[in-house]
Amino acid sequence: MKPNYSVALVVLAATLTAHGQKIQVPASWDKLAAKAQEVANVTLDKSMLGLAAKFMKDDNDQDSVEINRLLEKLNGIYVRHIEFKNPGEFTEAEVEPVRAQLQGPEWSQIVNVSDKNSKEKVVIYVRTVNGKSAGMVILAEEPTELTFVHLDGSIDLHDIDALSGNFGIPKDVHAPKANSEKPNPTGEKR
Amino acid sequence: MDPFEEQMKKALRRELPRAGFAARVRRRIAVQEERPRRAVWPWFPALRWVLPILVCLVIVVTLWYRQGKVERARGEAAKQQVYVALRLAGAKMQLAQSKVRQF
Amino acid sequence: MASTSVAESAASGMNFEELVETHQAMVFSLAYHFLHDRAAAEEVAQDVFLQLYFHLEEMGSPVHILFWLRKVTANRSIDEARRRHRRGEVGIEAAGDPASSPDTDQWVNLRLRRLVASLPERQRMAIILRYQEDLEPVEIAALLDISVNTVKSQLQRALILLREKAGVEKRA
Repeated sequence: MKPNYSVALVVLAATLTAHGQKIQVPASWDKLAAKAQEVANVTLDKSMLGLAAKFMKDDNDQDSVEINRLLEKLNGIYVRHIEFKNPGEFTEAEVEPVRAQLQGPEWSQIVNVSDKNSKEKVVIYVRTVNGKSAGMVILAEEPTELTFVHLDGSIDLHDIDALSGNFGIPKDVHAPKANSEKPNPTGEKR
Repeated sequence: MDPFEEQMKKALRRELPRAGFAARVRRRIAVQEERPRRAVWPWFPALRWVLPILVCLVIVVTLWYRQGKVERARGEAAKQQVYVALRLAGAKMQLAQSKVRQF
Repeated sequence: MASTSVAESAASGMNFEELVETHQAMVFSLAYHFLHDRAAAEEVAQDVFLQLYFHLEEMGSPVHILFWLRKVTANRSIDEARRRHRRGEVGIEAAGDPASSPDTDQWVNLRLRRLVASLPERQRMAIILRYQEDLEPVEIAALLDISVNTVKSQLQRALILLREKAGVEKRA
């Protein structure tokens, strides 16, 4: 009998959304990362965010202040970003398990743009619990890039607006440049 | 004292050692003095306790310093990861905004 | 060679050479009567004077030096006896001077010395200090760091034992 993956995924999604805190990236993304040109993995829970904020305070500039303000609201930041050399390295099937987890009642899409010409698609979800914001997920599919960003916490519209302005984060602090060191098998960037 | 005790005194009277005893003692002193004597600092008894304490202090301070270094390294790494995450999030937000404006 | 004559006890005014000259018989005899071995006794005696030399500045009056010498000799002799006992060494009494004519007294003395050497350590040292040095029980107690009553009891027991072994009846 053919295993019923869709049922499994729905159950998984339901389980996860019931708790709602961490969206699981499927194991297939590790295989994608293995053949990627560049990879960025970020997994920061509350304690690590606190540590980052502590050292960000030393920077003592307005942008750091803004970032710190955001970090105080967050329970975690989780990012998986994969850049490929050539287009077509990933399929919808690999993205679907993530989307499935964002279908629960707490999650709603606030942005869903899809450009068939450039084959770029960005969906932004927000999570609401008891009428209050509880997190945001950005899922972006581009020809040679796949990006998942989950900001878990009470992120609000101001924060979203500030995000689009990059907080003034220096341009050299970004996802790995092309032709930098090859990612390790787990895909985690160091 | 009774006769037995008197006899005891005779039996246990002092005797001289073999002739040249004093010279033999002198020779041993000379040998002893030629050996380098260990420097016994007058404050050695205190040093016995000070040294272990100092060693412990050095270990504690080193561990504390290294712990601080490790924490600093972790903190800096976490800070950079935050920047990466927020920049990616910002970039994709901008991408979404640009698509919306196009439409 | 070291100039030991220069070493002097500040309090006693005696130099080291003089101290050796004055006390060598006492020190050697204490060790010899205890260990019943001339070579071992000389070794102990040399050790005692060596120790005296390096502690000379701490010495006080002639009485203090004498007390110190007796005490150190007694302790070193006891230590040596225990060390030799652990190692299973047996004291060898040197043969008497062949030139001297043997007399009954000499044989009696030799026998008594052997009997003394067979006593338990504390009794043996108490007996030697009593009859060699003519010390009173209170002086012996101070030297050996024991009570006067213990000294008296040890002396009494030792004498009983020696008389029995020597086949001598105590005069009433």
